[in-house]
Amino acid sequence: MNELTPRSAERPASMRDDELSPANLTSSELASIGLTPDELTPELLAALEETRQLLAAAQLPEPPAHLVRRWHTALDELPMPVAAVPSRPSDNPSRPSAGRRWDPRAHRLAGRRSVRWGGGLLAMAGAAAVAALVLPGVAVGPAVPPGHAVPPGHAAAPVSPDAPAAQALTSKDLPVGGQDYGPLADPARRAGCLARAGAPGLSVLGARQVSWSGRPAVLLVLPTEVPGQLRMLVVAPDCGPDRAEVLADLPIGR
Amino acid sequence: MTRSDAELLRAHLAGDRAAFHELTSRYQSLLWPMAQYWLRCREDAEEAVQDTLARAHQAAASCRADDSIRAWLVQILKNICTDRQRHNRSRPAEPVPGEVLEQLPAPRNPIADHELRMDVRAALAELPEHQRMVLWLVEVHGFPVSEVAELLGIAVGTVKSRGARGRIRMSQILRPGRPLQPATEER
Repeated sequence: MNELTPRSAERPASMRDDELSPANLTSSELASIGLTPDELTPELLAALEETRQLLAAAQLPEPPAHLVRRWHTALDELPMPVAAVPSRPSDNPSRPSAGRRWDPRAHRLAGRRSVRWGGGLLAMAGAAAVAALVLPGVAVGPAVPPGHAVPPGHAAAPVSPDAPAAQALTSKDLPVGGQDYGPLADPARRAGCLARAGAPGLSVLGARQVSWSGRPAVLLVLPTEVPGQLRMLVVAPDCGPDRAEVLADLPIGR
Repeated sequence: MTRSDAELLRAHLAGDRAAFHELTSRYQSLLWPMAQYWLRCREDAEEAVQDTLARAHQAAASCRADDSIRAWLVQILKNICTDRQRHNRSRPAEPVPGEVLEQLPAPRNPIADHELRMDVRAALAELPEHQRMVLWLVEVHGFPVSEVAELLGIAVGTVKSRGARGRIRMSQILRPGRPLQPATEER
């Protein structure tokens, strides 16, 4: 029961929403702080209201600048998150809901070293052993039309589940673990390329320089949120933060 | 045009790296003292805030559209601090030097408050920490009492009594000579 003190009716409107005002405490709550309703004089309530307003107007203390810089630098080193499937809201807001796991210990020294991913992704890649891969040069129907340049602000490029690529070859052709990035060897450029190509922040499981329909290209194997499924992204060699010509973007595996 | 928290979070999920920085800038002044309050160790608090921001960055998709992003961030921080407290029980912590809220600057309208001999910052710093935290969350940040009770793990009535007592004490500090003096003391 929320028993208000007798003076509650006399309070100004601003005070009625004031949860900490003694005028809004029950008699027993007042007693717990050593007050009785009779002691709640208008002068006291006015003084407390003045204090409340001072507090409400107080500027927030900012953390030291060097800490803010460190925090923001650490954020810059993180991969961009994968948007989760909205039908599976997380009950625990502190746990990532995307398909990969973020290890806070890996970022404890953020700003001094880069992000490292654990074995989870490699395990996922292993789970995709049934996946088939289209070898470069094999004619397939890519989900993204050849020569398609993804515009700025483009969201995730659609991957067509009907693409014939997944039925073509065997997993031994999958360059998981490969580091043959070629012109995308620079991590910053590679990250920009991925972002522009509709795969922001994704960790590359493997890479290989290939010839795609007679054109030089870079094939990147990416994780997806579907267990056992990988994503094959083939981009032109000039892919970067400013331009991303996607030659193919296909799901691999179930 | 200023983007709302929800808009920033959506932009972040769409790949806008600057969006999360902007969101972080809004709440770092909330998270930093809370981390110090919970952990009582400056270094641990630094890491806890960093971990909170990083975890929120990666788990942004788990924040539902109707969630309060402020409450979501504080809940992540609380979880991280709780984990760290458990871990720290086996080793001594370095205490926070000085008071958590000592750096609270003066009110925005110094002319109107000129007659007050002591400013809000100093008055807050004189309060016991448990009263100061309640006042800081409710009065400065605008948290509802029920939410503060949940965050601090105390009863709603306790939040009210701490807040009321803290405000009375602050009022006395700001205007010396006020006769009222709460009789009881509690944590």
